[in-house]
Amino acid sequence: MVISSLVISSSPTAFDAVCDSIGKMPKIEIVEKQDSKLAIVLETDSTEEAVTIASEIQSLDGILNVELVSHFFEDEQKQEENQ
Amino acid sequence: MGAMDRRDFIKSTAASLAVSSLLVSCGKKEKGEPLVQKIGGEIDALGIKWDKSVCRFCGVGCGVLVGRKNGKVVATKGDPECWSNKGLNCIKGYFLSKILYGKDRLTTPLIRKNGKLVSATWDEALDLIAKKYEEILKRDGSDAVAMFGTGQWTIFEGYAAVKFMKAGLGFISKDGVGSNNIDPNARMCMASAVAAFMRTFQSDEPMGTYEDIEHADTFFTWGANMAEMHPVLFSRIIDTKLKNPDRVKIVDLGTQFTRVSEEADLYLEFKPQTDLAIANYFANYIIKNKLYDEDFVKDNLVFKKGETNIGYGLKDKGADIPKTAGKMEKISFDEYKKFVSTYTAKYTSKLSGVPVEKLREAAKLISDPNRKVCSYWTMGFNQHTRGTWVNHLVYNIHLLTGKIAKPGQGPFSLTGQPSACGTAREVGTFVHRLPADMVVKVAKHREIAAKIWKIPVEKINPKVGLHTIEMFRAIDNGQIKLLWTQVTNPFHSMPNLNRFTKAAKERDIFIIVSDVYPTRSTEVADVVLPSAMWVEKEGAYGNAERRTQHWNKIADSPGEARTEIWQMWEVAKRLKVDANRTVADIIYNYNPDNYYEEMWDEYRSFTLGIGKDLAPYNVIREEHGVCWPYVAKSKAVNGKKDFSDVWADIENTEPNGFVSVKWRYNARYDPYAAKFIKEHPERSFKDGIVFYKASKNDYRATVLAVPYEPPGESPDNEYPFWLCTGRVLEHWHTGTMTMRVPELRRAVPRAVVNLNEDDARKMGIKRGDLVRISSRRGSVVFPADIGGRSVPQKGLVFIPFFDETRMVNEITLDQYDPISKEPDYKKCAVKVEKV
Ligand code: SF4
Repeated sequence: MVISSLVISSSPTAFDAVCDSIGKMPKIEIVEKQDSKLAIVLETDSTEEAVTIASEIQSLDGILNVELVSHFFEDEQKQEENQ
Repeated sequence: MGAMDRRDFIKSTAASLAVSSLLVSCGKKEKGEPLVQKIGGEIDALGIKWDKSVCRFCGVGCGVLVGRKNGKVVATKGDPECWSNKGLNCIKGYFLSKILYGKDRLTTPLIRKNGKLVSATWDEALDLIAKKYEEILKRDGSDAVAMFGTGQWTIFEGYAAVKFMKAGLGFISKDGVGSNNIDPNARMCMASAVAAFMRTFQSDEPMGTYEDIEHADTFFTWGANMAEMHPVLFSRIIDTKLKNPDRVKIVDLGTQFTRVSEEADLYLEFKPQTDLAIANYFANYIIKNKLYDEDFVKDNLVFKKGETNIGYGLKDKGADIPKTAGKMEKISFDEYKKFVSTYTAKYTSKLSGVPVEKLREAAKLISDPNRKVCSYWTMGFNQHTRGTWVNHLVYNIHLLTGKIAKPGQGPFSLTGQPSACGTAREVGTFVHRLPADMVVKVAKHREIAAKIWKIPVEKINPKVGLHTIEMFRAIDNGQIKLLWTQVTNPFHSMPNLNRFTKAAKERDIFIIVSDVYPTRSTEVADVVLPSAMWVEKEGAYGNAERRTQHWNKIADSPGEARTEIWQMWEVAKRLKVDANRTVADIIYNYNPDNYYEEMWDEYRSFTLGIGKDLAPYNVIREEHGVCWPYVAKSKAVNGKKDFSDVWADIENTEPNGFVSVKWRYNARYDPYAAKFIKEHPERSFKDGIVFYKASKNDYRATVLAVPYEPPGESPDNEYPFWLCTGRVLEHWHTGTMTMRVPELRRAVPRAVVNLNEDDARKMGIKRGDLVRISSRRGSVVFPADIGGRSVPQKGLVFIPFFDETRMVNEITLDQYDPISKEPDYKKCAVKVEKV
């Protein structure tokens, strides 16, 4: 389990569509919407999966920026060590 | 805590952090929750101990809080208390910890035996290195050794390296002087900015801070893809735009259409090198339309003209560069007006390919007296055979209009490496420099350094050493017999690489490489030393906004990896000066168990009282980054100057009797400026701005008349394309760190050549086709990419330099700016053939 949170900025005109698309994506919880910005939490199996989702968001129409706020990866760290 | 509770706890923490950062970025909250109160933060409910640190990647210098458990990094978050990023990181933040744990970390010293690198003990490696120094210094003198460092050195490491070379080696070498052959890879990214700062203001580094972004309404980005290279800053620009979309304008000037161009209100695509003409046209527009600030010009500026036809550094030892390349001669304002009058819209349009209307529209925005204008640039300007000039030309615009050193107004040179400013520039790890903007050529400066270092002044070599390109050419020419590289990968990043790799293999040269992973440079090394990286040691970086950020050792380094300071110290211990003393006794006379504070205090003493004042050690440890000059109110508190009489007029002063200056040269924010104005009642200073460091110019900034001159190599019939090199979002520099992150390696495993769609169609090249790119130096095959994130202009191809299996630097040209000595990686001529 890897948990991370992000802030996403979109252009005001695309905001509703962006919220809609992100709302439909799996493993994402939208926790705040304001001024064409979204705060989201991702719960993924790995960092890689989180990055893939972040990149997908980045490529949506109207997205201006995707920024990382926090990243918790203790379980992944342990798994990698065991391998 | 049970598994579910733990999961919910992490999720709710992550959520509240994100909400808080969102509110800060909307301007609804001033600062995020201080989740780590002070240094050595509490262990949280998850058993994670949090400490502050700085991102290891780019020059934005974002604060990062690093969470550890059992000696390993297990979580990170953007530091809400760091003003550079206010709680946000870019996507690269996901990989910060992973760079520590790549599978092929170097963990033991290696020595080359019978052509192969084999494991050795530290004693074997260090004894061998010391023996080589001794032998070469005694036989050939201090000119025969060199050190190539980095803008990724911590401030402490850079300082220890400067002392090793400039203060220490003179006690061993036959000529009795230290070696100035120490240059950082920052020569390849920042030197042009440094040269122009010094020549314009007599003081390095910007006047403003990132906070300008929130005060400005007009942004000019010059050849800088900030959206991908400085993402957190670009998002601050976007926030400003979102808050006031009708008013705020972004103007992007470049040779390729990038994500910045996409967000821009106006995009000016110009032919390579013609930025020189465009900037001169803006100055001409300002003058023709009388938009300059007359009082500011009268009070604060001096006009000069530069030497022209200054060469390109293509011949060894700069044989094609006139001795007077850096000369500047005083002229009148009228003469300057006449000079720029050549750059009409029509002439500039013809040269640059930018339509006249677009040029006019941009000129109108940059010169509008009612607009607050910020200009940003980085490698597009600095890696330029006229890089110093083009930096000057942007200063000219801001100086003529008085749009400088005020909140929301100013020219701002960005950096690529995390401590290009803090270490390379402020410590002065360059061939011509000493700490705090001082230079080896000036006797007074050598005296100051010798006094602080407690060595005889004769030990400091007055002769400027060999700058980067000439340093590597001197390996080929046989002058340099020993090279120590630290935290950098020159046998991947040097232009015209084949020449230098061949020299490393064939010449009589002993190469020591200190690094964390195997690289193209370790492949040519005689000894490889495994280093501790980032939070595996105490450190401090200085970012582009003059902000000093300190961190403690947070994680353990693997195997026998040790810090570079330890490595140099151990070598210095083995260099015997006489029966009683070693070089270490002289230059590292610190308490070995607690040397960081002593070293900081010593280094800091260079900076006090001259407007470069660094903060005391306890402050950099406690605070989440403070900007210099960090000035004390009274002599009694600290420092050499007393500011009690002007203190009441200064904004942002702190209760502890210090101020961290946000806008240098401005009497409202900078006590040095306020004091200077008070002491000079005979002069007037428009808007309370004074360039108090420019003592050689009667405290005026220089406006320089320099023309457009063509690049060192241009496309012709045989090599009809421009080649431009740079970074991609996923990888940083030569990929030493980012290629160890499986996610990034999978996302972008190999370098590709980016082509313009029309060019590709004409040559019948499709996406994924293999294409041979050749120059006069060699040829390399890359898969083609068309219609990627950035779109090159017609006739230009872009190739990133991170990939060690296909190194674009085998075809780049070792041309450089004759003033800054910085190579131009953005322009050379190539041909493109489908394989
Ligand atoms: S913008 Fe630069 S310093 Fe900030 S998190 Fe990204 S790579 Fe690190």
